[in-house]
Amino acid sequence: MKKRIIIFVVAVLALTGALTGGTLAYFTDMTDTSADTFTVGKVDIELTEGRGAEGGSAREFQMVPGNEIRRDPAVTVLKGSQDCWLFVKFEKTDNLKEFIEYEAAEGWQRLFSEDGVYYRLVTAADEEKTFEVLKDSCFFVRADITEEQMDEIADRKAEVPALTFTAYAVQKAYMDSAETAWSQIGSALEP
Amino acid sequence: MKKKTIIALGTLLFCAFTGVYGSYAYFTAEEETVNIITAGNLKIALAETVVAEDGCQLETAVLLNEVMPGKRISRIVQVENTGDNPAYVRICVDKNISLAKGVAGQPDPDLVRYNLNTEYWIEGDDGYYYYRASLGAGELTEPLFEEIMFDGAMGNMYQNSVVEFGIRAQATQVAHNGENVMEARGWPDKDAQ
Repeated sequence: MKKRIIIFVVAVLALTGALTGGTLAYFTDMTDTSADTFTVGKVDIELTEGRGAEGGSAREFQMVPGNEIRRDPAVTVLKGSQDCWLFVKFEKTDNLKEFIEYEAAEGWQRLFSEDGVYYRLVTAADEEKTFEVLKDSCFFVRADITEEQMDEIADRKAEVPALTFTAYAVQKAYMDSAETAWSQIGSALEP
Repeated sequence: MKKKTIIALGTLLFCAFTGVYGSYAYFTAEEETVNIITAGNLKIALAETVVAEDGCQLETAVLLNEVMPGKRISRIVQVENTGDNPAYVRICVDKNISLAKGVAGQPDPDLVRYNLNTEYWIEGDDGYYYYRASLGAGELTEPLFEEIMFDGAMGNMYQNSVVEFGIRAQATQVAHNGENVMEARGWPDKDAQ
């Protein structure tokens, strides 16, 4: 009897030990992963230089006093771009105004905080949008140019007049003015 | 005659005893109670909402296109205890930026941030965010965050890139499981399905 009692007690102790040491677990739960995806927009432009003198490079023109020179540089805001501030900067040599006259095309406004910069606001669209840079797609050679001035240029005694166009675009979002947007270009261009 | 009397008396006495023993019973009644013991449950659900421009709180759309640098997007992330027992809760947030095809560079995930609610959530060393209090049955946590912000410093490299947020919540029981959430054990493995 005593032996049976001892065996019984040992069996109970063994079972208790197994239950306590081997199967401790907690209730848990876990959700599926919620996936949020954001695509970042874009602002993309293209500047085309347009026509040049026949037989010459696309950007060389011969000046004849009183003549108009056909030139149609244009800026295109590419398809899929977001609302943006579009800029075009006219950079000219110091003597250009002695030889050439030009105006920015309709729709461009002068940016007063920066010389030679014009801007416009472009809204997003499914199609690309193209904007001419020069009024009437041409600039004019001044009629009062003297032969002496021409000779100086031909002899390389004076700087050859030059006009350069550069286009920029900045997102409209969080840029409440063209000046604010233009300031971003300055910081982006810093080395 | 005397013998018959004795037999009759003996028989009578025997019958009397038999009658007494045979029909002696207590009043009893029988009643059954059934104790059903069920195991408790632990169940949570992730709740994501947005505040629309008119101020209404709505369930989220999971895809948002053409976000621009500087943008702040409403995203309210909470956990609901949909089970019957209190739970400790934690959340992990995985963030990934994939540049557009053909664009070289190393994206900086810190340019996309959220406004973590540190009053109610603790960031653990393991990258999880732990809810400070236990969550009772039917309760909803305070938001982990309510906004996602795209830094204005995101340059042209990020144009057409894709930003992904993966959010997952986990729970473990409160009962007999430490004094607070940081002492709780038994959390599911992060990669468990």
